[in-house]
Amino acid sequence: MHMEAIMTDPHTPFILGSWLVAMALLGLETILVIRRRRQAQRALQRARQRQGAM
Amino acid sequence: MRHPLLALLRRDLALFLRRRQDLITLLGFFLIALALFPLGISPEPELLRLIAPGAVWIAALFATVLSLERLFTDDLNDGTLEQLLLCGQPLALVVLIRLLAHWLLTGLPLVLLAPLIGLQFSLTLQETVVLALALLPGTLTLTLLGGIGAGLTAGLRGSGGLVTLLLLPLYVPVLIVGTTAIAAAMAQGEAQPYLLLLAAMLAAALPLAPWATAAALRITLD
Amino acid sequence: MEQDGRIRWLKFSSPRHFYHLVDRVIPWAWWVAGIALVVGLTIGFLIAPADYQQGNSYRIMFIHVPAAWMSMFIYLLIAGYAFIHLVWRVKMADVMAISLAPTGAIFAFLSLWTGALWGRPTWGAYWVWDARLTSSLLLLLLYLGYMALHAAIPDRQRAGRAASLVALVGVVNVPIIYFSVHWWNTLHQGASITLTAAPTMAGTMFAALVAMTVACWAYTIAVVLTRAQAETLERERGALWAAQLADPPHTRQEADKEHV
Repeated sequence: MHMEAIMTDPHTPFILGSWLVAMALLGLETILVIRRRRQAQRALQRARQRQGAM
Repeated sequence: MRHPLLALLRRDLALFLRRRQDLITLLGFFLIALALFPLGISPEPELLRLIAPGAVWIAALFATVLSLERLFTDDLNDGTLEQLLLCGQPLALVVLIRLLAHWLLTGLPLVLLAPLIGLQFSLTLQETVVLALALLPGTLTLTLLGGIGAGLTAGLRGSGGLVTLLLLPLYVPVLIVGTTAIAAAMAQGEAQPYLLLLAAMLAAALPLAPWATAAALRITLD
Repeated sequence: MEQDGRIRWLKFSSPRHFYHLVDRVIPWAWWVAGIALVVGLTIGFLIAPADYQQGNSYRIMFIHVPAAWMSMFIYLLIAGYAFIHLVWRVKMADVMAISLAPTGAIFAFLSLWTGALWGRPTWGAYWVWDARLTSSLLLLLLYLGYMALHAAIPDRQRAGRAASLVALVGVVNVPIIYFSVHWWNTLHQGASITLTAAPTMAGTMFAALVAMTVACWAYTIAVVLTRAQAETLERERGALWAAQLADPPHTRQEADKEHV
């Protein structure tokens, strides 16, 4: 698709609306999942340190 | 052999009857919900006839979901459920008895109200008969499927919305076939195939649903 | 050799080995997903020609169709893991099932969302009560019910088994729901929309669709296994192997050797 074709095509809002929302949702899921794993690892780390201190 | 299960049926019926208030509230809910449709849409008889099949089934569906809340909760709280689990009778049969008792007091009255519904929505006598014949297997199927949801959520706080979310997708086939049966009778068509389809759904739910409910209760009691 | 295979499967069902095996799979899955996405986008937007009937709006298909497929496959996978979980009491099966569910729900939502945005320019309506649309909506509700029940029961073991039962009841009902909705729709069908008339597809369009499907599969594998790792760590908080993950790398390896 050429740039001008994209700008003038009446379907562009629908195409962008589906693709951008899809990519945003999947991207958000990725970030949240990776953050959740990191938090689980951190929680373990803290527990381990407390154990070591005792 | 049959005696313990009969005694169980008698006990369940007696216990449900003891909570007469709940049963009256349920029938009141069903009738009020149906009365709201003409009030909310239009008093036009033709239009009312058009929406009658769907309105009746949706009201019956929500009435069933509402009635399920205390199906197992009381027995779970006072420990009766654990006794029933240990009583030597197959749990699926015990559950079936419980569901039948529940349906006799909550589902059957809805069927018996069919003439009143017919008057409300200006149905002919023949259409009213089809309505009752559709509600009879339909409400029993709804109750049987509902047992699964009730068994899984027994004892959970604020489980009403959860039960609705779990059960409504399962209720869609009954809703579709039930409304079509009545609509077919209204269009001077043949309602019998749809009534048979409802009976077939009942025949499938009758052995499977109590079994799944028993599994759900075992998980709940674990 | 056969025995080796058997041992590996058993290993996979232990949380510790699951965690380490999966650790090696995840980066590959991310790479495949990323490359397939770039390839799919390039072919789908730069190379594939506009459709002679639908113009450019058909390019929504490249995300819509894989999302719809994934939402169905993932539900079947959840039901499969639920069965394994209930019958053989394999803990990790529940971890996999509950880790799959949010991704499946997202794909189910995306198939509805992109379908609506595709429907507007093509049929002139965002939503019609077509059989496929209706059953996709019900599938999303089945996902939500499964996740809601899993979250509502405080005890994790009980939650897992109850949710597994719901997934199995759901999967038994999916064909019944699908056929009844289909049948209902053909009775009520007043509109002249038929979704089944598949237009012939150009080779490049097909290639883009394949690439996007691969991307969605690889994405699902990566994100679900990562979530399964997090879930495992949260559940195995007390286990020694999990605690050792938190140690600095050099001591960890020694500890690993000691406990093998």
